[in-house]
Amino acid sequence: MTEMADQAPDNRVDTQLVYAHGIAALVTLLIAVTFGIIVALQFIFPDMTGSWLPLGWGRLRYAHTQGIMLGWLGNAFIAFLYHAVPILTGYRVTSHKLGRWLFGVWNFAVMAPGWILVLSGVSQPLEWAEFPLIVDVFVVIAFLMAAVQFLPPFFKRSLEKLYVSSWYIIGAIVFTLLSFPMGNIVPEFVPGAAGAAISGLWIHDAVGLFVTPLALAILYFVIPSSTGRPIYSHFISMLGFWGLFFWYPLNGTHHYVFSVIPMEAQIGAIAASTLLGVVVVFVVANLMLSQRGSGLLPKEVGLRFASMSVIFYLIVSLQGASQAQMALNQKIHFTDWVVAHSHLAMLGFATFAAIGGIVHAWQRIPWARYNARAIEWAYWSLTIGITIMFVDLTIAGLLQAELWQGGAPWLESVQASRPYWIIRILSAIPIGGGFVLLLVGITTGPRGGGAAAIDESLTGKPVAEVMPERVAVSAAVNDRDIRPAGRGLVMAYIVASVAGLGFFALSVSLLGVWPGQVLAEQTALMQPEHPLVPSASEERGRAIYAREGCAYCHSQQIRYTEADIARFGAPTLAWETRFDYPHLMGTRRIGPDLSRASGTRTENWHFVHLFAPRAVVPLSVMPSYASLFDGSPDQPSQEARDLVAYLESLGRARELAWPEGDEAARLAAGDDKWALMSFDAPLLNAHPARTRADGEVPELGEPAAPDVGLQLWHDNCAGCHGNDGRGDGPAAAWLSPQPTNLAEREYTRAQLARVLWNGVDGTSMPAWRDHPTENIAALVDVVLSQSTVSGETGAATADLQLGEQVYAANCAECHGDAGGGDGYAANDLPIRPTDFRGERPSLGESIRVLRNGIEGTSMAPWTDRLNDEELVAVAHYIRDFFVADSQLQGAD
Amino acid sequence: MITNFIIGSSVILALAFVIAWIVSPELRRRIESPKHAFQDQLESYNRHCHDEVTEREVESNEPR
Repeated sequence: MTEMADQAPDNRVDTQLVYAHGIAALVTLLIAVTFGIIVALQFIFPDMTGSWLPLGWGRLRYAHTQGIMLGWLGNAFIAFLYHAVPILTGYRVTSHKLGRWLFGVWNFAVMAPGWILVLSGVSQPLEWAEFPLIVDVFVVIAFLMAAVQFLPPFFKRSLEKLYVSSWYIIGAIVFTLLSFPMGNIVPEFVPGAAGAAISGLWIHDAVGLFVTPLALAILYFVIPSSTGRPIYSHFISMLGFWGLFFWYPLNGTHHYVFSVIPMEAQIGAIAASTLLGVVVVFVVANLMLSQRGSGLLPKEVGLRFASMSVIFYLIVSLQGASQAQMALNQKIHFTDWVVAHSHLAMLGFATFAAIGGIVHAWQRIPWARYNARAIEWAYWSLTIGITIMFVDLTIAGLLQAELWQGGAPWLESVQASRPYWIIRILSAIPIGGGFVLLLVGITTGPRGGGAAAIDESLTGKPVAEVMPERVAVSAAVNDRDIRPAGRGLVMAYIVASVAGLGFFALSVSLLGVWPGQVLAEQTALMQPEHPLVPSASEERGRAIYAREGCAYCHSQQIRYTEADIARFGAPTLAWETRFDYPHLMGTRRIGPDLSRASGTRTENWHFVHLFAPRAVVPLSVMPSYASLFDGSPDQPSQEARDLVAYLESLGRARELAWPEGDEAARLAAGDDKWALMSFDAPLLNAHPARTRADGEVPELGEPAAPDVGLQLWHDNCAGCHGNDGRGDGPAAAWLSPQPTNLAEREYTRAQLARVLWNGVDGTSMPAWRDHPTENIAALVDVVLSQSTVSGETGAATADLQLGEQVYAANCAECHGDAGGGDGYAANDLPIRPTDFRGERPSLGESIRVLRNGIEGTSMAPWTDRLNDEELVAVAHYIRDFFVADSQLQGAD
Repeated sequence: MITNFIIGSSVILALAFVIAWIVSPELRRRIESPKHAFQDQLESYNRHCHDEVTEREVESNEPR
């Protein structure tokens, strides 16, 4: 028996496939939301899944977004298409058997293996394209099957008879078939910023050409079906259709505003985003007017979901248009504001539309169970939950923006975000509960229980009474044969297809291909004569970085903004990303940008940080990667070594080209004001933790309150130095050299200010230049108060004479004649020798150091060259170099 | 250049729609007709579903 649709009109809906995809949608939704909830929990409990990589933050984050887009929304949309296409066209879909295959491919060749592979570490680090290439192939196959399944019935009708939902369905399937391979496959082969330009197009096409058209198709379907009246204006709906398909694809580059992608393309995308906002106002007005008479809170729950979706759509679209504007974008980009925006788009607008479509279809399946009360509760639970999450993350984003713009220490923004991240977790209760209720709603209750909703739409007032003009128009239209002649029909389809494909080609040409050419030219002009090629280890490390989703917290693009230049250094040039296949520019910063990580931390610090992040950065929310080690940071696996090698390579090529290479590139840049902005940056690497050997130290002034100093100590220093400064913090044993035991030393204020402001070159002691000077002064007070050195008696004159001889013969070459750490050999040492004028170890500590040396430094044990008497004598002698603050004040 | 092109073509697209709407009453009627046809299809389908559910209810209530 042939399963192809007959030529005779037959609008029977394949309810089995509606049901199958509806249930699959809810199941995949619950799985994807669970991934999302774990990800949200890890912000507060970063160690909750241990360091087991399959449940690591990055992999779960990949699985979460792909699950929502393809698992939940994909299945929900297909379920709706099975319901809607026969009604819209009057013809059945192509084949039930094909439908079973489509169901199988979508869920068992895309979703299940996609999730398994991503959680196993096989993925690609591209937003909304995280499933690996092999799965992408099956997604394309699935879309081809969907095209064969759903499109033929539409081509049996003339264009003039196509209702707006039909246009959106055709557009969504055709354009996704084009944009999905572009966004998922091309960036693997186009490097760096040029690849990001393509990737940016897909980020918006995924929403604008796949999710939005199908969500709008549902809204334009459910609203008139539930109200029993036609939409307000089909003309406006078509204006919206063509407007959306023209402007949506031109939005993509607004994800990379202030990046190295040509400004012309960025401004074009911003203009298109603004125009899109205008069109959405028309679309929403039309949808709202179509609900007139239904009240603010429609009684029918499917319509109520659709109605709320319309409201979310208005908010998210106006927000999208405004956040593309440069003034707002430079502040809120990379913050939780954007996360709020994407959740409102996918969980608010699209999800509510999808639920409206599923509920609507379910009410019309005579044998399907339907629990009206559970669905009613689901509506309220979801509305409350998503509203809380959106408002919460929007405020968090504004707060982060404010702190970042003001130059506050990075961890201050992390700490300030915590209450909002907790509220986000709490919002998961109504959201997750709502989705469970929804599943209960469509799997329990009486069979055919949804028919009550249909009753209400049918038992309303007669259409002729409500809208007499509609009956008149409808009759007039029916009287005329509006179907064009056969040739006209073909021509109309050709014109529409060329227009649609032209829009897509235009967007790819203007915002993908052209910027790529410009970036290639810039790269050729400005790159060093012999650019540094990544080593095999760095390449492997890059793959690990991509696999674990590091780019989703750490961007790799310093933007052309004052705040970025001040915090991170010179903006990223095109050639700096030329080996990035695919790009890792990122769209969110939970941790700092890593474009110039090279030379900022020691290898040892990186190992400890990866193994136990909170040991060295107590306020960090980074997950542990202890499974990359054999039980200790001292025993890194090859993967850990590769990852650190990669981190150490970030920004190195530009650093090695600086300043001579940059000077040549500056000449090549001509009058390109954006490129010149990068060359004119005061510092190539402005990372505040980067150590400096001889950096100038500002006047610290009055210290902040003592409790501020103590809090700063616990938040920033205790991980290494311990709570009391004894050098016994959780990270101490793993660091080399180990943190200084501050309790066993005396310091001058000037010496502590130097160390805190510049760090200690060659060790894991970073600089703290992002902290206000009054806070640094408060930390100085804390360290001074930790010293237990007091009342030590001086040495006899004879001892000091011996000490002086020993010192001159053995120590002065490094520590200098006057103990200033400036001996003639000092500059050749990786870690500068101690300056005894500003730092005085206790006698016991001095003797311990002389006997044992300091591991990880050039200070060796001296027991094989000096006898006990000499050791004690020199220990006494070096203590005399110290010039205490009180002595300095006395001299003044 | 890109911005000018986008804004220019947007204005042309919008004007083409609006002018066509203003000058052609026939177009106005034609462009609105799908929503009425769709409404007829919807009501027919809803009624069909309603009848089917009612039939099932009657069947399930019949004494065995």
